[in-house]
Parts: sequence; C-alpha cells; structure tokens
Amino acid sequence: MVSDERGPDGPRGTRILLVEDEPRLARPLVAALRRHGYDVTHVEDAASALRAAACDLVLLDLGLPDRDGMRVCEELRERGDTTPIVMLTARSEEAHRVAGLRGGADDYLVKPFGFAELEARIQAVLRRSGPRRPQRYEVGELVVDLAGQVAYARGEPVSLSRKEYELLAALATQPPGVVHRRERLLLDVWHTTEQGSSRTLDVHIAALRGKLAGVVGIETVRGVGYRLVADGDETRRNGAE
Amino acid sequence: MKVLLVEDDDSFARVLTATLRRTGFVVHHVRTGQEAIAAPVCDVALLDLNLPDTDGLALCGPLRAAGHAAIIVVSARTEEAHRVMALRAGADDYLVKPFGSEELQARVEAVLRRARPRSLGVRMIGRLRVDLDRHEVTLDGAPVPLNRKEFQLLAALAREPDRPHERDKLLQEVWDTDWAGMTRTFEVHLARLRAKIASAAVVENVRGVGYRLREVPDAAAPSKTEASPSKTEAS
Repeated sequence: MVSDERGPDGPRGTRILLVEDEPRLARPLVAALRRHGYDVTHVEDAASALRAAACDLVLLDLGLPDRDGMRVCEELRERGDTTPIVMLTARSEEAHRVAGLRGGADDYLVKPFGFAELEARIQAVLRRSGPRRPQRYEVGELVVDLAGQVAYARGEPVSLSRKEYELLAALATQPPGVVHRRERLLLDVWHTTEQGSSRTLDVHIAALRGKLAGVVGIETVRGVGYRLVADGDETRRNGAE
Repeated sequence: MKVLLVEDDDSFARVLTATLRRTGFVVHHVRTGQEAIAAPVCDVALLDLNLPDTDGLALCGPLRAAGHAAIIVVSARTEEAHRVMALRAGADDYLVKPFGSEELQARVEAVLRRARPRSLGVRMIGRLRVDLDRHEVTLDGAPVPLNRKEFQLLAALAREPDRPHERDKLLQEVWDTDWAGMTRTFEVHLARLRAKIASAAVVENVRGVGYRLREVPDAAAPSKTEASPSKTEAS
C-alpha cells in the first residue's frame, strides 16, 4: 500500500494529495509543491479524494462542492486510514480549528497563508508521523491486522466492539514488553487527556481479558498502565530473565 | 500526560497551568532555558521564545534530544518567518498568543496523537539493571520487587546516575508536589529502596545538594571492580 522508504527529510518523492476545488488557489499551489520536489495529485471534490490512491499526506480544503471536507477527514479516519491531514481553509474561528483538529486533522492552516509556512508545516507533520507503521502485529498466538481492522486468535477472528479493537490495537503496536501508559491509552482510544474516562478503560480492559483468555494476557503495571504478553509469559517474566 | 511549560511570564504561566490541569495534564513549569534542559522528560513541551537566558528556538533541538515527545511553541511573535523558523528548528506546532484554551488542548492532542514517546532504554548501575520502558529492575538477572513509587524514585535517579538529584526535584517528579510535608514519605520510600538494592547500589546523600545513585564496589569479586561504574545500554 504505502512504502516505508519515505525519507524523513526533504520533499523529494513525497506524495501529496491536494483536495481543492478553487483553481485560482490550486494551480499555484500545485506548481510550487512540484517545484519543491513533491509528487502532487490534485482532485477537486470529496468523492475523488476518497477514491484516490494512497499518499503520504493530504492537503484538504473544507469548502468542497459535493461534501464538507470535515466529512472526508472523518471518513478516512473511520476507515482506519492514518495518513497525515493538513486542513487548508478560509474558516478562521477557533471553534472551526478545534473541530478540525479533533476530527482527526494533524494541522489546520487558515487562508491566506504563505508557501514557506505551508511547507514548514508539511515537513513538521511528516516528521512526527514517522515511517508508516507495519500493518500487522503478532503477540504469541494473537494477530492484529490493522489494514483489515480485525484481530485473530489462533487464526480465528475475535469478535470485538469498536473500542475493544482500538484498545487491543494500541496495546499490540507497542514494542514487546513495553508498558502502555493509561493516559496514552485514553488519548489513543478515547481521544481525551481527561481522567474521567479512566473507569471506561478498566471496563474495556476487563472485556478484552475475557475474550482473549488463554491467548494473550494483559498485565497491569500498577499505577502506570498495561502491557500485552503472550500467555505463559507472565511466569517467565517473574523468573530469571 | 506531563507538560513541560517553559515560560518566564508568571501571570501567563499561571493561567496556562490552571487550564492544563483542568484538562488532566500534570504541569511542570520552569522559567529559563537552563531549567528546561534539566527538567524531567515530558510528553509535550510548551515553549515560549522570549526567555531570559536564551532564545526558545535554540532549545528545540536539545529538548527533542532529551526525549520530550513533542514541542509546541507558544509565542507573541506573529510573523510568518518566526513560525517557519520554529517549525524548521524542530517544533511540531506554533501557537500565537493570545489563544483559546480549547484550541490549545486540541493542538496538544493532535500533536500527541502522532508523537511516540522515545524509548528511555536501560541503565546499568553495576549489577543492577533498570529497564525504564518495561518498568523492570533486576539484580544479576533476578527481579527486584519494587512498588511503583520506589521504582519511579530509582528511575529518576538512574536516568542520570552520576549527577546528584535535588530532593525538591525528586519530590516533584515522583509525587508531583513540592510540598515539604511529603519529606517523611520521601524518606520512607528512599529507605526501602536502599534496602532492596543494597547489595548492588547505594543512594548517596550529597550534603546540601541531593542524592546520587552509585554502584557498590564489589569487594567479594575484585575482578569485577574495573568495570565502568555505570554505563548506558541501548534497549
């Protein structure tokens, strides 16, 4: 789908999808991006944006002719598509910026903007997005397939609610043995930094433990968080390393 | 989630701290670049550019190298050139003062969604192995059972084993308080930690400065004494 070889620095070969219906803005932008070495695909409406081939970053206008750009962003995220998104829009109120960022955008730039700032923001977003994550993680006999958004225990699909899946995926993508902090899980799965959802997290952890019993364990590290361990590993962990 | 707030304007810092605490963040506030470099590693650093001892831009690199997961510049400078410079210097985002608390929270969350905490790695203090990512401590390969606060105290000391750590800083990092009433709790935990690691390491009291973690010279096995006192091992 997406190659892992995108360089961390510099635009050369970085594939950008520009979703912008206003030709007077799109034309100079496409030209400037290409001049800087980006590989640009330009589409003019939401339907084409959702059909477009995978890319490294999306520049998304919000005032599109067929659908609001916000919906495009939400739909991409609902599909599990984590491609970085920078919104470009004339909507300048704080409430719009907040809605855009909470809706899954990585950055939000108000028109008119200078090309130098756009380029610096594209690079900052690409830098923190890092290389593409692998699409498949294995812990013991558990496989989490991020592309299909499904988990398999000993080859059989596990029936999980949306949040249970997201929680399991967050735990599984952590390097083996590393503790996933509670705050981090609340942010990754419930998109909040507030501790009010803490009880919700406990409930989902308990549900996952029930469904995955005998396949993987979810170890509690008291006061810190959780880690996923292949079943049988807990005893090894307490013995000599 | 921990926020490092680097801001010399106290009234602005107070408002920002209150806002961030309300939304569930633990805030560590410092006023100078030098204090920022010495601060505990946080999930996100909010960085003012006009600091008394240095330009905030010059801190982006060192803060990132120290392991802070994300950096957001918070500044009254509105020109595009400043935004571009800050982003190129390593900032993840740039917020112009004044800004709304909702936007601050949304931007911090957007940046944190992407920022992966850097691995803190493993520290060897002689025979004592402290794995900062896995929260595991072993002595000659056998697990050392530490409770959470004992581990955090050891981790704070072990991150920079050769430097003395002030008690105030340790209280701040482990108990998130600077209240002197916690001193007794601190001492109880320190005593338990010392007892549990005694055969491998000591926590020295550096008078008037703080505490330092040291390897116990191994008298029983003289062949081992030439090993380096502490070294960092990549995980």
